[in-house]
Amino acid sequence: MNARRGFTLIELLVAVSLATIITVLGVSLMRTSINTSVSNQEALVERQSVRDVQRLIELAWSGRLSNGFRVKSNQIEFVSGRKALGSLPLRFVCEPGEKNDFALWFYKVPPPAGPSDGPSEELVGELLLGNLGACRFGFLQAPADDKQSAQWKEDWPAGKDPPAVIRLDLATLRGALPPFILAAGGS
Amino acid sequence: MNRRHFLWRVAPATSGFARAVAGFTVIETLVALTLLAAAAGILLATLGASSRLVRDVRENETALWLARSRLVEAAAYPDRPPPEDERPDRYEGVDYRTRIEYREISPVAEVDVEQVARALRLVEIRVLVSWGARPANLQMTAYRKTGPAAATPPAPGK
Repeated sequence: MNARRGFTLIELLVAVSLATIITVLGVSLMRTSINTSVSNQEALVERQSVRDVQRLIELAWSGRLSNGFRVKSNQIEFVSGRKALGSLPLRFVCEPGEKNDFALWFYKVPPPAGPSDGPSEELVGELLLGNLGACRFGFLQAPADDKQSAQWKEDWPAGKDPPAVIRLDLATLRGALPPFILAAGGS
Repeated sequence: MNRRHFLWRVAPATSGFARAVAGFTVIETLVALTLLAAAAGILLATLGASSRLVRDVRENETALWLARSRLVEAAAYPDRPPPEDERPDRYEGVDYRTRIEYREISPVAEVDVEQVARALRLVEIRVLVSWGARPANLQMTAYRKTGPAAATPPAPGK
């Protein structure tokens, strides 16, 4: 009368452990692929925001006027001839954040108020990019010697004509991005 | 009697005892497992292919970005060697190698060579970027006027 005999304990254990192993493998594979796609998605969004900012700087820089170009450590200021951007000088600033990070800010700088107006009002900026690992401007300068290569400078002397080429080096917390190098009038 | 059931096979009633459930045969189980494995394999292959595709697109975009920047950099002063950059071009764990080539475009022989050469000395600047273990590459080209002719264009009229 053994016709309805069930599984033995051993059989059951082997089956359950096999099932467990297969499930764990499957779940870990799924998790890896989900992680990859999430990080891809985040990187894509991040890239997109960087590209948007680059487009803004490119638009402003390619229409810049020759006057009013100023450089201070890690910031550039110039007047753009683009009507869409207004006639105020534009200022792009790499500002250090709180946690050893950087942020890129964008200001439209109003003309200095008269001395009677007391302290000038606080500038209202627009945060273009936050959580940056690095943010640095550079300026291409050709030395007098014809045979030497042009050099990237961190600074630009005041009163001199603006450089033909500028660059913006950015790194997100994910890592460095290729340099963004701009010539006047586009390339 | 041997009645059919849609899920399991019913053993012929050899004894007077009730029908016993016979279960699947080994062949059936193997076929089912093989199908399952094939399906899982196809799913995984699709996932892998899609993530590889996304990575390829990102690398291509990075290379395009880099090439464009390097081209603008080199084309700013076409008659000098390209500016040096001490930082390695390593982005998202991939190394990118850049090579810049200059080629002077010689004017066509039939026309007044002297005049054309003075008016238009062209340099072709080509940036080649390659990256990855499977060498992928990309190139961009720009043309620039160069030399003293570019600095002082001949006066119009006359």
